[in-house]
Amino acid sequence: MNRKLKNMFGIGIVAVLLIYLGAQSFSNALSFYYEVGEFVQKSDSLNGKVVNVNGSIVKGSTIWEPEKARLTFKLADNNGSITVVSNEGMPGNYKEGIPAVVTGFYINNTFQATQVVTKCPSKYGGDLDHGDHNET
Amino acid sequence: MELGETILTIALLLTVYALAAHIIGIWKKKNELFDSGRIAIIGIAILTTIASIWLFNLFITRNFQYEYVAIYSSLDLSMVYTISAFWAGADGSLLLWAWLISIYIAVIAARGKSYDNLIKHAMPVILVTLAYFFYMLLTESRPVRMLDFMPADGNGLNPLLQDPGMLFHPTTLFWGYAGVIIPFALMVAGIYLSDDTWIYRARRWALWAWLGLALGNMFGSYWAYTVLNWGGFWGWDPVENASFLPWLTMTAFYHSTMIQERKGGMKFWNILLILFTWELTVYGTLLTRSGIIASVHTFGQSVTAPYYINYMAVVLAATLILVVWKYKSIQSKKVFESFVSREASFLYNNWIFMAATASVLWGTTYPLLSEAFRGYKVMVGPSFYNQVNVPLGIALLFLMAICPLIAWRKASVPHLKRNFTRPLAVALIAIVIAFAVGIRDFYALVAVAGTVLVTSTHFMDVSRIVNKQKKLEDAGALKNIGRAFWNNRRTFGGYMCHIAILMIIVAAAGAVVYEQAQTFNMRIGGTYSVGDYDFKLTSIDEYAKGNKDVQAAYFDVYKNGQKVLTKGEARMYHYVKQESTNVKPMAYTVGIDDLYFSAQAITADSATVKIKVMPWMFLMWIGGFYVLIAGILICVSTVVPIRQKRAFDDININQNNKIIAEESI
Repeated sequence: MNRKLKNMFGIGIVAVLLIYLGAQSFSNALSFYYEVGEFVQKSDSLNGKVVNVNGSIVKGSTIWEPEKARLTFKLADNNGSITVVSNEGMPGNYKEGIPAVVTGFYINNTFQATQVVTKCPSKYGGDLDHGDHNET
Repeated sequence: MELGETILTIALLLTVYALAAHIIGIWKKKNELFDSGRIAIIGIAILTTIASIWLFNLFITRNFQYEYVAIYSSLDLSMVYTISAFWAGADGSLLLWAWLISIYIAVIAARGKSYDNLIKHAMPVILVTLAYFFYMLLTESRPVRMLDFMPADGNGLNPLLQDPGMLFHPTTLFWGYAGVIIPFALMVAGIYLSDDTWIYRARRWALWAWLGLALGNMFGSYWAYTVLNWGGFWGWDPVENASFLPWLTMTAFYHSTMIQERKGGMKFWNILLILFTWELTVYGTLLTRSGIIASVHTFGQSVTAPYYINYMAVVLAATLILVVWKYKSIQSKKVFESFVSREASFLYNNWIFMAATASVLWGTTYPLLSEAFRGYKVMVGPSFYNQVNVPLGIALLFLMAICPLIAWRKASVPHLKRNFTRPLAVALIAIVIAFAVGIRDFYALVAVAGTVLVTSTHFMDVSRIVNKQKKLEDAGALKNIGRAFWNNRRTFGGYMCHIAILMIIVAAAGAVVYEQAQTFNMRIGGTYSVGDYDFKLTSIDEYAKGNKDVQAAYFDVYKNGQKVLTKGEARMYHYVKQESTNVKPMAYTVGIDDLYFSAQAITADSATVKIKVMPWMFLMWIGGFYVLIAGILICVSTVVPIRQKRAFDDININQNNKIIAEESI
């Protein structure tokens, strides 16, 4: 085997190894993403697994315990609802009635969220207050 | 028709005229058509500037009859954020992008002397894009669309965007985004004309665009650190990745152009890199503006996604057809004689950047592909990006150390011994010292070794250049250094960028490896410790500031009994209009550490606060904002004379190779 071929072979092995390691870490970093209704249907099989769930924060469901930095609320869509508990404090742009994605796991009929991301900007693109003057 | 849209319509018509003038001018070889085309281009810039000023005016006068103004501002919004709301949404951002492109091409058009055949052929590519943007601004992405009613008030700006970062992050990023199209267009013209000089022209604009992208990413990172409460400087959020991707390929391009410039190699590779950079720029816009990916700061649902996808498809197809058509004229010279040479180190550098690009692109895009083709949604966590990119970053660090001192063509064993024995010895000593003082973490030791190695090889090369200057004309130590610097601005500027990247790597390593964090529920008067610091909650205050109510917990911080910080704050903002509460993280630099306060809850007599001690973070901002900018500006300052020299050298490439070989011995 000439020198060039040896070098190419070495580089090839390193590349394959890196791709293998990358693929491994990729599969470990993947987490499934469900709508609330979908998640409720599959919740038994997903017990304890880290997943992401998308829904809307139900109006009037928020319990905020500042001394514990604990936030409890209901996340729902048309097909179901879950109770979410987060001990990570108040998430940015939190507001009832807006969509949110929670990341965490389901245990004892409660979703323990490690992260709550509110899909804030959509509400700024929402309906405008028509006001009471200057209809043109 | 509404005034802004009238102006944009005229700008669109002028763009079509300028495009036709260029195409017919090329076809019929009529120079006077280019002259009128150039005047039209300057006219486009003037009109787009007027349209932009008009939109600023609508925001300043709070004219809520304009939908875009009503959606992104409100009566209680401070004036500075009312102005910055211009680019808060997809429509205004597109106008900003078009505005910047129109200014760039007006600068080119105004410089008559350099308006040569290459530019004449490049301009239609930019004009077609600009016409497409104007068309979008007039149809689907209309920042100056009027409502048929007058809302009493606007919806207001997203609280997360009410930060000084909003003034700098999007603007610098779009400065970069707009700049990328120029090297891309020069590349297309270069292939069409079989003219390799496109690479010299492209470098200048590539640097300018790279500066914008680098600054945009740094401002984004600083914003994430001080506003978004992610507790860090980078969260691998899809939208962060979107702006990082073109930066990666542009950095690779900037390095590989040196090989084409000096040796006539990597021509096809450079074409691919600048094509990828432009495609990724548009892809980034697609991700951030179409709302197709769930992210902290996507801009909601938009109907513009198909426009960007179609544009990307056409650009890709047209460029590849052109490449196939002109394939014979883009054959590179054989430049790689050895796997251990400076040429090879550039190649490895490019491989690493492309591997990083591939991993980030894959992680960002996979959720879309999974949903489209497999029917289920997934999310890719930050661990994937970290596990792939940290080793790549380390490889890049050591490559950066090798690059300044390795010989061109082929590095012999005696050459390697002569150049690398001392730096390696210094790095080894540094590892031993680091180990002795208690650093045990593998990545921290690697960072120490890499840092010392990079610093010492760069120092050696700088001393070599200064000594050369001394031999030419000894004018005293300081003057020798000054003259060496001035005569080798591009090299020194590049090295400054390397040192800046090194500072960022050290900061990231220090913050990640040695970060200490704890969450406390504290009562006033209580003291808690994190690392070497004692944090005493002294008071809590509530007050109104502008359009928000502020809750603040105040801390005095002690280290070894000495007070090192008075009235450090942990804050929460409540935005009345949006009925939304946000944490405002606060970071204070004390010695080499950043003390980072992130309030989770504040009541009348207690606060729940996450406190972090992050060493070396200040290096990230000094490196990213000062050293990097200075380095790039120094590089930019050399472009014109160096371009002329290189153009000459290219004709005598063999002679040039000889000089380089002699220099590297």
